[in-house]
Amino acid sequence: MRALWVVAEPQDMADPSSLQERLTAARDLAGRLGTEVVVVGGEGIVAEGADRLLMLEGGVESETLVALAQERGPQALLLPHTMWGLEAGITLAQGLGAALVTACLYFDGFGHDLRVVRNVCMGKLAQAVALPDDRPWVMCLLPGAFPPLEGANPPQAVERAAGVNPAASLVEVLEQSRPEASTQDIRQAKVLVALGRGVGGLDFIEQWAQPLAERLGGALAASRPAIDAGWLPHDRLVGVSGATVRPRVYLALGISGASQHVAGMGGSRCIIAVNRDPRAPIFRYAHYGVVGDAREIA
Amino acid sequence: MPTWVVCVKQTVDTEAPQIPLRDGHLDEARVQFRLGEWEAAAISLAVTLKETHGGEVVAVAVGPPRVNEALRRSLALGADRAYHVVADSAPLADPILAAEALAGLLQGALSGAFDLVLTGEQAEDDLASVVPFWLAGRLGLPCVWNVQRWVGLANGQAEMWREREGGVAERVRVPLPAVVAVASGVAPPRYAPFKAVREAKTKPLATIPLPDLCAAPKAVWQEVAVFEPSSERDTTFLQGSPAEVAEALAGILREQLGGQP
Repeated sequence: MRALWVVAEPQDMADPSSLQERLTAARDLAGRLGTEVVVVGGEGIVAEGADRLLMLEGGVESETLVALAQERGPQALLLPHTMWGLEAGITLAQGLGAALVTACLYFDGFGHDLRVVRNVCMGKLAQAVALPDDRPWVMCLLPGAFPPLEGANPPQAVERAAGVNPAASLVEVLEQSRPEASTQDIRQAKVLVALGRGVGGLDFIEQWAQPLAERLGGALAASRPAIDAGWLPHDRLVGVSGATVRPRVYLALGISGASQHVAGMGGSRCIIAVNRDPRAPIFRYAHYGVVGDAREIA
Repeated sequence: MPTWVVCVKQTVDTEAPQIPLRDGHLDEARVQFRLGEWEAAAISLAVTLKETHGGEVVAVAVGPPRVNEALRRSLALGADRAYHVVADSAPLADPILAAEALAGLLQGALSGAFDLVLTGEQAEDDLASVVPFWLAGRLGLPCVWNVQRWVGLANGQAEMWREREGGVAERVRVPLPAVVAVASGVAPPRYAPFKAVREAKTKPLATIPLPDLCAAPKAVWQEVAVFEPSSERDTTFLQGSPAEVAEALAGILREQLGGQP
């Protein structure tokens, strides 16, 4: 039986939720292709939901992965659409001459008719693609596209393989800064008033959004453009490069709903979206929608 | 004299009121194209580097004849010259096609003589993020992705802040030449006054047919369809005057939050 490899990234050791999302995707895909699921990861990786675990001594590193995949010929390799996953995925695709599909959302069809659906045009559209049979596939899955796999059995077999010492990276990390715990942790708030590009301006925030958040006993949050514009500090960012939140009410004002943002708030209990663009992707995730200008409703 | 290369893509304008489809694919004849937001940020950074360190800014792009407009726009925003690799590639095609063509251009026409290759961290239409890593792999160069802020350049090394998932920011140092993929906020947008637009028409723009550069790369995967994704939820849309909508929203908030205003 051919295998579907789920490649674990080093930070999956500390936080397995992204790996669990890929395992949900892998179980789905394995069912469509009739393959087994193998997790390939470093020491100490938790691989519940996999049929087998391939543990690499010395950690997961692209060169090792290429050599192992050449030797064992998996049909597909699933990585995360993250900085690490893209770099490793592209090294794998070049090394294996594989098909490479990034920004993957979900799968459709079975066997030879399998389609991979990708996120395109800032989430306003999706693209279904067909992959060739004559080479392996490397796929990078968007964070948040699949729910984490829970309550699965541990792998039936664990195999160890030797890694190689990775070549020193030419990119030297001089300093790391983690987001500071802010005075108001948006992950704890029961109501978030979240602002995007479409509500523009500090005056709106001061005169309306901040008082509303206070009145509701909540906090302000934002999508990337509002942070880049300097309207709110980075600790208010919701999404892949910010916080993952699950408030009782998420009021999204002028937020288009790019996948990077939705990955951080899709689990909120009640999502209310206000946006001028009736095609904004945020409406696909909202319980309640208002097509209009947040300033007018204010 | 340093050479700052910027890979630009003429992207689908994803903020246009409509992204027209026809027969299950993008209707390219009616789609509005533009120089993407990330590409414009990369040009802006390159022009800043030129202002600080001298040299020239070279904009490069792959695609059908319409791509010429994005390159003229790049020239109006401050690039000195441009290369257009003419290839019949669709906006959402397998990005390795463009990446291979760009690798061929950088090694061929530019004979590897550049200090920095800037790209956007993603293109707003295909969202693939493949080109920077692919180029780095092909050219044997380091790649720094999702760069939020440029710090500086000294002794053949560049320093910058990049951002990883979970909001972790890293200050990194990399020897040049390198591939650097920027976030849209890396440099403030520049504007092209009328004079610059006029001057851009006389700046050198070389067109090179793809087969002159490399054996035509082939897309590995094929697009089957492009479509509007279905809704994840049964969204209730609130209608009425702004006052009526505000009233309805207040009711929903009360209900969800258990009696609070």
